[in-house]
Amino acid sequence: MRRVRRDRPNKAVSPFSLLAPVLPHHSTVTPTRLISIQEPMKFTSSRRCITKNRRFCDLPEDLLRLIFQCSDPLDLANLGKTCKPLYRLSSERITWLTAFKDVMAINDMFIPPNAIEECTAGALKYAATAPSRMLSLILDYPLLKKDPSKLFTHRFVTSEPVHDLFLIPGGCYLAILQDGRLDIWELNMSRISVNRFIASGVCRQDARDILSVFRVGGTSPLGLRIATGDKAAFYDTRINVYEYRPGMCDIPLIAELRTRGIITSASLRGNLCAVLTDESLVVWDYLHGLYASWPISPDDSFDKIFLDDDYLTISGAKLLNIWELPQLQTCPARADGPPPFTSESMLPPNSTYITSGQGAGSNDRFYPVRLHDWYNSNPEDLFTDTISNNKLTRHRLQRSQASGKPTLSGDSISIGPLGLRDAPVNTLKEHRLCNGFTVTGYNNEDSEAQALVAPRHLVSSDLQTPRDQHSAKAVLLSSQVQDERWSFDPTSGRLVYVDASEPDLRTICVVDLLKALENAQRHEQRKSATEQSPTAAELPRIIKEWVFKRYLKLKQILLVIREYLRDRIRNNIVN
Amino acid sequence: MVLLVTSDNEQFNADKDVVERSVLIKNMLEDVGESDQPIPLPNVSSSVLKKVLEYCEHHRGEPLPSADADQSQDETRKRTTDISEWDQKFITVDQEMLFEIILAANYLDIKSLLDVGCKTVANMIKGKTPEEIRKLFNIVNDFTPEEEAQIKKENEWAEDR
Repeated sequence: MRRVRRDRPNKAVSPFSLLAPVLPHHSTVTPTRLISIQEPMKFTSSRRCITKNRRFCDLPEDLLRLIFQCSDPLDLANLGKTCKPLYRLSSERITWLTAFKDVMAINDMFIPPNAIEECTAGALKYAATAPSRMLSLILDYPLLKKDPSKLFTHRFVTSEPVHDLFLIPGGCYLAILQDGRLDIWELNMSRISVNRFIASGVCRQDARDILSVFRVGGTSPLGLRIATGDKAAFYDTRINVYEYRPGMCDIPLIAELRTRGIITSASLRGNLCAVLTDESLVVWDYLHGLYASWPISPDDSFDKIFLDDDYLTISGAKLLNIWELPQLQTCPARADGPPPFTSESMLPPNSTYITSGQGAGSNDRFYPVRLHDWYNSNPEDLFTDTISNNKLTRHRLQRSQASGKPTLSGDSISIGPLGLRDAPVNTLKEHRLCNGFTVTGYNNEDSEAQALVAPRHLVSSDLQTPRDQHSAKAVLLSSQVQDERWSFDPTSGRLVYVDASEPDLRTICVVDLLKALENAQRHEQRKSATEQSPTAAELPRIIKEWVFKRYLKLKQILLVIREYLRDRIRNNIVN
Repeated sequence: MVLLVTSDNEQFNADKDVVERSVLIKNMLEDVGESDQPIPLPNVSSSVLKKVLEYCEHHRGEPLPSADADQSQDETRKRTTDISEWDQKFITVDQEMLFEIILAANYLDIKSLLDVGCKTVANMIKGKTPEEIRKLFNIVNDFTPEEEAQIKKENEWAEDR
């Protein structure tokens, strides 16, 4: 095409020359210009080569769509920027709908189907690429400047004290625990300006903590289960499980569980709720009334529990246990308190232990992350991440064929130091999954909320080669985060916290960190771009400005001189 | 043994259980029944069919994916671009061949091979900028500067507000 345009002024060229690029051996035309230096032969030959070969864009649309389905959303967005046909094809709503549903399933995001139906292709594109963008920002752009005015914050003032809040993965729903009430707020998917208070449930007055949240359903989430309790209570400890379903405006209580001891940690998954107190470990099937429990020795000082499909991960000082889920028994109905232990033996069967071997130390503590195997094609491989002794370690577990018991394969990869040594590790807030990365939030001494990103999908072959570059730390927000009441969702890049800086005012702030970081990054890029030498296109403007500036100056000087001369002349006349 | 004839009139002899990885040929054989008639494959050239048969030979005896079992699980695992070691070595071919294999796998209805092909393409563009993708696939940038500016704006996620 370029050649045709260039030849147009030359009226002597035969019309056959238009065919020349396609038919290079056309004998009737010998336009020398065509094989001039400006038009290297390479172009013609590559052009011929292209028409003969099968190109990417020549693939049928349904196959291109299949390739889109295999691509990462961010790559898909880049593919759409290459040429018109791909742009058109990759802008189809169905492309981003499937991409978003995949991202949703991978990250346990909760956005009900009717909300997705309302979304435009653009909003779906935004949400589907958000986790990848957030991760790349955390990894490449480690520090957010402490300029709160630049943050996209939305403030909601409430009259009652806010005990706890939890931003549901996906960043669209916010669970807020207030005095005797559990509320769900809906935030808009692409921007946080519009918000709706959508559901509310009455809960116990003494509920102080949102212990665990579980999303019911696969690619199309059906509802949320939320466990609340009071970590400070030590007598007649109760854990309440509520269920929210999209479209309903109440959040009914579906189970109330009672146990003894001070709650350390709880985890919901499916119909199961696992609760760890300082005295006991309890696993409940709250829908079928099944139950199993063990006494816990306070010496173990377990502090986190995590329930996966088949396993129970419990961590404590210098020890990480992975337990196979035990056989549950019928729960005896007792009005006067929790049922007695079903097993007096200390531990459930089929356990795997990971001991640190790092010696004693205050930081020498395991913090387990979900055993996630979604990204691995081999379901026999399981991984667990632990944070201990200022290091993040990913252990590989193998399920033995004979017993089905998880065993430690001996492969593990450690990354460190994580910069946790100075910070009290007990302020570790939560682990979230984001495209297979684990993002860990914690508060440091300056009450900054930080995020820690674990390595990218480590599969068996990667376990041999440590990759330090995948470990990163980002300061997300400082100053405003006063206490533990904050929640960060890496899949949408949103952070929510309670602003307690003003005495009688309780404000819930939602910050769009993704937008803030991207704007900051773009600002920096622009700044560096303007510092570069001007391009040829800008030259006339720059010269014009320069001349104009000097012209004004010159004009001023001339005016002064004229005034002076006029004065002199006047004086001369007078004299 | 089954006789296959490619678009360039070359004949291939292959075991029945090897070629039956292709749902197209499997259905054909079921419809026609036992016969010595060669099966014409007008959309597949000999060089491509050789590769496809190599793939089928290696994966001989593996269970064929059922039509709609585990659809939801399959969907979520699609974006994980893990390819087995042998398949990776097998698919290390030039671009033209890769696209031809994808087209042949689609035509012959060999789902696992189609997946390997698509995942390989997805891996090729992984982490690349638009300009790098253009270079990779020889794509001509046909956007006008105005259109390009418009697209750039569309992808500036953080703009507005």
